Amino acid sequence: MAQKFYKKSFFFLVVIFFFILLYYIGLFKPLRTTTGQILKHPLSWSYSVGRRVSSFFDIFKNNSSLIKNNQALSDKLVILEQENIDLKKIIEQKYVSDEELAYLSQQNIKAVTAKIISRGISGNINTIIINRGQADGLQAGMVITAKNGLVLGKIIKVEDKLAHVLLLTDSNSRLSAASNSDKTLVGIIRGNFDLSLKLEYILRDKNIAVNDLIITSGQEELVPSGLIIGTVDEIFEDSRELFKTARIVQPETISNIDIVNVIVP
Amino acid sequence: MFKKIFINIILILIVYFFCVSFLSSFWPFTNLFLPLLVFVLMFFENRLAILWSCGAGFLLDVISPLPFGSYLLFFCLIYLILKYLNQNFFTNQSLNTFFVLTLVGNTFLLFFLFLEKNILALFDNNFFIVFYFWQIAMQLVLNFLVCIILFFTLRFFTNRLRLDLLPR
Repeated sequence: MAQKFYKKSFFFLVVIFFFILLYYIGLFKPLRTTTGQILKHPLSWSYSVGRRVSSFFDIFKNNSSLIKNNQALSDKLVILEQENIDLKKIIEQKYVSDEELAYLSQQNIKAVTAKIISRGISGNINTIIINRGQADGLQAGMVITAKNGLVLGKIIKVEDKLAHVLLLTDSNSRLSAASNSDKTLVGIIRGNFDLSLKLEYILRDKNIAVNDLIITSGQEELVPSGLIIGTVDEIFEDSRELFKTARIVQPETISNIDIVNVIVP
Repeated sequence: MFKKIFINIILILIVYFFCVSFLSSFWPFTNLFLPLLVFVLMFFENRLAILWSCGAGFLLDVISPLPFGSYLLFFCLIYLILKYLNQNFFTNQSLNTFFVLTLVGNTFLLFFLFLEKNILALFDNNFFIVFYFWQIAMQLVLNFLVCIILFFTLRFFTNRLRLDLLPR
């Protein structure tokens, strides 16, 4: 009885190994690509449904803090409305949007729009899978952005029609960054306990202040400079240390986002 | 038989979309295939359990960052381990057996993934070994919950299941 089981198990494993071998020879590669292609759309639809369900329950979860937030937001709205009027005037006067478009085309910055189809199955909560891959010109090392060009993560692996993205908030994530006000102030952005971001290796003689805008430095081959990462929230300075560190906050989190742009330099 | 296979393929796809995409949009990825594999192995035909292990392994491989075949091989190995345990040690159809086999399956899957990621990390910097304890714990809790739901649903329709939570 036991010997029969071992024989059957051995035969079963040989069949599986043979199947995997045929894949690496190239015979079954189209099967995986086609399956991925077919599954992409239902996965994307299922993800959107999940997002809608989750946002519905968020209303109940956050109900207690809604009144407090509402008051704070109403106060902010008055200030922002005034700022908005000022900004509109500036934009009209200087034709900023036209200039920016011209700048982007001059710099040859292209973007590929992609949809998030899953949060990844690798055991890491800070990875996502998007529905674009090598076939769309994506490469490992490219960054993804969301609303207003905010950098959210970096591609770590590309399949034919899919790409795996590691979010900036992950402790293993690294990205070269600079300050918008002082381009010589350069550091490394790193995930901080999978929640926020840290800007490390800032030289002590460089001046950095709270609310400073942090952007990509452009020192990485596939990452153009000037993409927004976040703003400085807190600065940590120790007289015994060679470098300063700053905590960076991002205005958006991936949980609110369905569609992202992959920057193709 | 073909009707059964067809129904099971549809069920595998539904579970796949549910845990890979729907659930993962607001909850970290939870592998719900293991309790279902144990369920099919314990209460249904052996062929269907093979279909579940191969189907789940292949579908997870399609979107996995690990080399193709990893999940397929792991699920097939787990199927063989669980089959051996179910034939020789945990032979009764009780909730205890269901829990133990699910726990064993989970432990082996985590062990295989940990082993593979460690080996890959030696050659490729993009593979880091990240395992969140609370995520593993939540996976177990959810798997046990699925076990309870499946067990009592089946118990409602048949009398052959035993509810032994503690040995007598």
